[in-house]
Amino acid sequence: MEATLTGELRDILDAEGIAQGRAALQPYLDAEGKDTELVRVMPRDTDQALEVMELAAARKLDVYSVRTRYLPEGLDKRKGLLLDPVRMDYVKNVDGRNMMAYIGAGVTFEKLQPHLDKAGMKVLTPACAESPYVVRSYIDRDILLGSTANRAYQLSIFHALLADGRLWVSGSQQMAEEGHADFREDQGPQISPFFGASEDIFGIPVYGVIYIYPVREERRVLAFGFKELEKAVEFSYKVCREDHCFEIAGADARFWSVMAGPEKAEGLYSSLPPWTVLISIEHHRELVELQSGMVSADAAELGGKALADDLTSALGSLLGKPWYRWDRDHHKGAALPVTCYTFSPQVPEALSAGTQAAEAGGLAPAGNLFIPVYFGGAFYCESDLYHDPGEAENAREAWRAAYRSILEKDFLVDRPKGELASMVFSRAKPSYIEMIKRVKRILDPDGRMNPGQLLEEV
Amino acid sequence: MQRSGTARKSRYREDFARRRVIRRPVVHEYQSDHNLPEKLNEAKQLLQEALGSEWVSDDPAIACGYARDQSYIPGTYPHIVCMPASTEEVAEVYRIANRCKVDVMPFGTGISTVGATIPMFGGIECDLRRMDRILDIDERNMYARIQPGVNFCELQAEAQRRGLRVANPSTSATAGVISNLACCNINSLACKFGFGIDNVIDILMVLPTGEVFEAGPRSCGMIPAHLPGPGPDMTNLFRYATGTMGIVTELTLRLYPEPEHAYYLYPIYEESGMGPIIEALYAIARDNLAIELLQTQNTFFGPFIVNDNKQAESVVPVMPRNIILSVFGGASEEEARLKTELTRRMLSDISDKFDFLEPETLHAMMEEAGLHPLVVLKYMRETVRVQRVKGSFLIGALMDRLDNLALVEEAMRIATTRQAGTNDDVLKPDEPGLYFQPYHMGRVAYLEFDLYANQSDPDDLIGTLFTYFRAVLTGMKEGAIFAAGIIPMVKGLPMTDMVFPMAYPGLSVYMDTLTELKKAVDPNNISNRRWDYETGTMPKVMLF
Amino acid sequence: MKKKMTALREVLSDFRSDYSLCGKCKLCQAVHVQEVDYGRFWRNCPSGTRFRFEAYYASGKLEMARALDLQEIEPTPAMQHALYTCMLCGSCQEQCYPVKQIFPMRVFELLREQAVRDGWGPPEEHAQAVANLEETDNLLGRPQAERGAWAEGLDLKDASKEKVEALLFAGCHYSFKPELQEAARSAARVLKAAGLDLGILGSEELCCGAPLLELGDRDFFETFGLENIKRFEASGAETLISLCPHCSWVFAEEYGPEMEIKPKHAVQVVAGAIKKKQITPAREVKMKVAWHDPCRLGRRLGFYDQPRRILSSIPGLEVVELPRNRHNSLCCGNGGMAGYAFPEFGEWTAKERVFEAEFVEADALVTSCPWCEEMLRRGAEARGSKVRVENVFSLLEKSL
Repeated sequence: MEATLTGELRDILDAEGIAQGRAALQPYLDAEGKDTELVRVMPRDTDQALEVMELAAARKLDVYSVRTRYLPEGLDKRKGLLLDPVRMDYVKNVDGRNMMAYIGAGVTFEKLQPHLDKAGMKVLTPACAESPYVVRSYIDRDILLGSTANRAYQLSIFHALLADGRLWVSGSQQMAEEGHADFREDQGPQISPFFGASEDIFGIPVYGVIYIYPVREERRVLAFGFKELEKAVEFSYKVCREDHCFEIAGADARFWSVMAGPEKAEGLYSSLPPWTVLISIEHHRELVELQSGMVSADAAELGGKALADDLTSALGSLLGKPWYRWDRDHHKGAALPVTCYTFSPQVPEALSAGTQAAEAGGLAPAGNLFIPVYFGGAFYCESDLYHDPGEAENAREAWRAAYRSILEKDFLVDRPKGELASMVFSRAKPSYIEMIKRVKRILDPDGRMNPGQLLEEV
Repeated sequence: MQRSGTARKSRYREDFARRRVIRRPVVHEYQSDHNLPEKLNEAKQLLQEALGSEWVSDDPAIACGYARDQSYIPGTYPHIVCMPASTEEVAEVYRIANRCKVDVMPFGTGISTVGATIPMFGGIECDLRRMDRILDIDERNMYARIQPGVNFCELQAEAQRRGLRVANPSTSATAGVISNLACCNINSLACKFGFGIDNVIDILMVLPTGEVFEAGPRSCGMIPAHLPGPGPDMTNLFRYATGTMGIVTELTLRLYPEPEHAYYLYPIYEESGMGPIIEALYAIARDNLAIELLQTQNTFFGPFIVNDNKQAESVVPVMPRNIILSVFGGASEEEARLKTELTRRMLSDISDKFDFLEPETLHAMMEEAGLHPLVVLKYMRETVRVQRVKGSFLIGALMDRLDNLALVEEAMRIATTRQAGTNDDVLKPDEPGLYFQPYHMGRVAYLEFDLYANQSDPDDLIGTLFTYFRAVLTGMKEGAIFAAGIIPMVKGLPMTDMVFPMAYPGLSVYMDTLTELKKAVDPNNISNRRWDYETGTMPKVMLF
Repeated sequence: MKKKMTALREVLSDFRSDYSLCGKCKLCQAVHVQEVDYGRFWRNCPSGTRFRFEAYYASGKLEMARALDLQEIEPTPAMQHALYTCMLCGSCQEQCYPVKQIFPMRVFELLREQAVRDGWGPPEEHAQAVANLEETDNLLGRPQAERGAWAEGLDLKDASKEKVEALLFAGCHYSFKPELQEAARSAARVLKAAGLDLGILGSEELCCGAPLLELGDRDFFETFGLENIKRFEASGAETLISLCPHCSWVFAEEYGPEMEIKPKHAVQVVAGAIKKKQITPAREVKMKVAWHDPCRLGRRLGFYDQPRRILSSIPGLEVVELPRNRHNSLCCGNGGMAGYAFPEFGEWTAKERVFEAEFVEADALVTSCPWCEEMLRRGAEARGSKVRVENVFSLLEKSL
């Protein structure tokens, strides 16, 4: 990287705001030892970020963004700037009355938590996040615990950097100042949702207004064990359709024990039934009491048994905080998740895709998770393929086989990345890809914004 | 029997020979290369070949039905009306329109209070009501796949038979579901379930070039499992585009479970200050127990729940000034009642001036007015609210935080008091219809501030119109935002292109992008043409 | 001699505020929206449902009236088709009036009157009907001398020669159509069983003129009307009982203010007789039936309960409601003279109504209007349906 550019970037940011060489890949868990020609830039706020983008535009530099904690394939070989939101970690406001928080893109769930605690609020937490940043998690549509009764969208407004140094403002802030509507709908055709799960090919989010939720008077966590997956799913469907829970997740013993961490894993695995559905109910005390009874009766009707208090408490402690993909790495070394959405009757089929692929690939048994969304209208399904570093190739092949099986059944893979994106978009109608290209041409005519990150051809 | 002497002799008949059409609304446009007479003839011929001559007409008697709506907008006739029956036929309509450079105005079910389906410059009116099937309704997985001719009345009936619910808006039950989603979709379930963009799973759409575009799971042949994608979410490109981006021919809509038991709570507040009402709305919305929630004043609620003006006259004066309508569901009656009771306690803590109209009392009032209580409750689900208004309907539809809306409402009321007349006896001249509709657990709310005008009475119309703009702009000055994305409809007006981006810097990038996207998907500018590509201005001054 | 039946006639422009204020809300296309239980049955405008363009719905025709009034358009063949395929069933008005106090059906009636005055209506397809009335004084073009033949052997008085208490007016269809005459005979026998002193005018009975009024030819209608009133009054009867709701409609609305004799429809009289126990149905009739509300009898005259009371009095009869019933009833396909001029369209509508009866698994559709009976039978036949079409009096007679 030429010295003048480094100098100019330093002028905009300061010495701590840029990193080069191996240090440029520091955000990535699996980048150890890798070098790159990318220059990592770390603006503190939107103004600095815009200046960086202007400079990149003037110098015709490609700009990439840090979106996950796992290094996207081939990114280290690219040249240009790598924009890392890590220093945009300011919490501008937590508005408990209107239940929104105004935060920079570098705010992590952990950083936000004390601010929320102070306001008596909380956020919906992701179940398989690939990034610790709240805005990133929400714009990439991470599956959230609690998304059965609360809408999938948790990001109301966002600001994103465009390739030419302009700022994209979404939703009502296009025509009203912050602190007024702050509602997510654009003032015409809905273009802002294009930025969701787009691998930042249109723009890089730097600021967001997110939905927060009140901490209720009473919170109770219940866990029910089932021998059969079908019964566990049916129970979850009923609980969701009747709107009887805040958070809900069902998983097999393997998944729960891995999620509990290395210390508790083995003990928990041997104590848990084949399938456990974990539920939180929270609200007014009397209502929680009543609904707990109803939920327990529903479980009993389907052959579910309430878990012992210590087990319930162990699992319950997992709720209320984000679940990261790397949380699973302690088991065997790494976890490769296979995820999709399907309807409740097809959950066993969806989960068997990963389980069978793991078996066929000679991997350790997969861990399986399901989470109902939209009152049980659909279910998120995840199979984690655990493997040690030596099995990486096997695991990758099993992962491919699992997704091939899922795609054959037409289950929904909603945010494909990297190799999976090629698999999914090869099924896409040409007009769909053409529309992505159209918008890309408008917002980034020179193709300098995260080139090749969603699809090589875009 | 012999005819009497007067038969077949009338001054009308005698005058008829001399009678000439003199006042057909003209297409105000100067030197346009769109809709040229010879091209219109060619388009008609091609359309007849493509759709069958039965479904294409340029007869003025057929065209006149599309020239006006409930708005005050002056009428304009389409040159040709056509009724395609499939996605492929819609695509063919666009291809022909492009070939002949004739404008296309999409027409879903044609219910609009803002002139949304009136063709500004004539051209082809594309009436989609032959595409009127509910293609699929999935009870367990809670979605319905529908065509543009499906209305809320039929979809709600089918959903309710399956224990489900459509988030029905406060428009006529005969409004098309897709066209409503393309424009507003304000609904009383919005506090818990959201609205508009929240309820669309996927779409099949014909772009103005004739290209068929699919977004959402179906774009990659996947099941409509309630999530957008894969990848960028383009399912709502049609929302607020009002036909400028093309025509949606299929849409998968999210449905919601109907609770087995429902209980109703009607908190009332007779004082004039809005403070406690706002607090109550915050509290109920935040609690997220109510499946339906809205606040109305008697002048709004009264007329809209009864059958006719006579009933309205008897109901409005006995109705409380402010009434909050909240509905609580439960898997058991005990649960529904408990939620109601908890809410009642919460409101009593906010203000001791809250009274509670027992459902039984309200229903008794309705019975007194000659209405069956069940019918009243059904009104909230399959409504005729908007269309009860006789005359033009000027909707001051704004969004803001609830706190701010209280200020906005006050400012708007000052701006309109004694300024607007109405032809509706029930609504006194200084009493605009008002209601608050919280969205998304009360994070934001909708304020409807309606003025009514008689479009055949110039004094009334002009007075009301100016007052309307004064009120809406006052609301916007207070920080509120117009509730339906209006940019595609007003783009090209000096106010929009100059003042708005100056007032709201965030708008310019969006407007530029929208402009380029419109040009990209509609290179000939034929789909609901509003502004000129070369000049960037609207050749005919039209609001909405 | 009175030249006209009413001193002041309504004209289209009297309803300017109606067609100016239509907001195109489309409620006129539907049954009462709060009463839709099945999405399949929400529509209630036959011409709009069949021909689809806005002009075929009430909202479009109101706009047509307005455009004509404002001299924006001239009459065209399409306008004539849209206007005369309307069945004047009144469903649009049933929805619109309570909501907006607009009278769409009245506007269409007056628009037809204007069409006749201006010379662009009725369409050619109606010419034979008008010619028949001109030449034979009945709609069917049959010799008037045969008009009373249906009543042979019933021992009814000749009201043109002797005084009767109640004058039975059979109307053109029941008088002349063999397939309908049995229903008229049943009605007469039932009325006699109720103890009425009954007579008919026989060959002296003229068409009531309703078809002419429906076509918009008010002048010619009034010619019939004035002559009819003269003959009714000459009979000295106190009550005029008609079997056809179309006759009942003009007797009530048009003749009523001009004559002393009290017009009634037979269902009214028979329902009253059952209530007073003058008739007591005793024999079981095992059948599942649905009542089809004729538009003129129901929406126009308000007789919804009377026919249902008759049916519910018959032992063994299971009475079910059609999804579109009472004020939401769908036209049979023969209203407004539309079925006469456009028989395929009429049959198309009737098939839909028969489907509704199949939907509720009724054995028979029961009604009391010759227009409905005729068209519904055609619809059932065209559908190959097992649903029979019965006259209410024929059914009642079986149980007496």
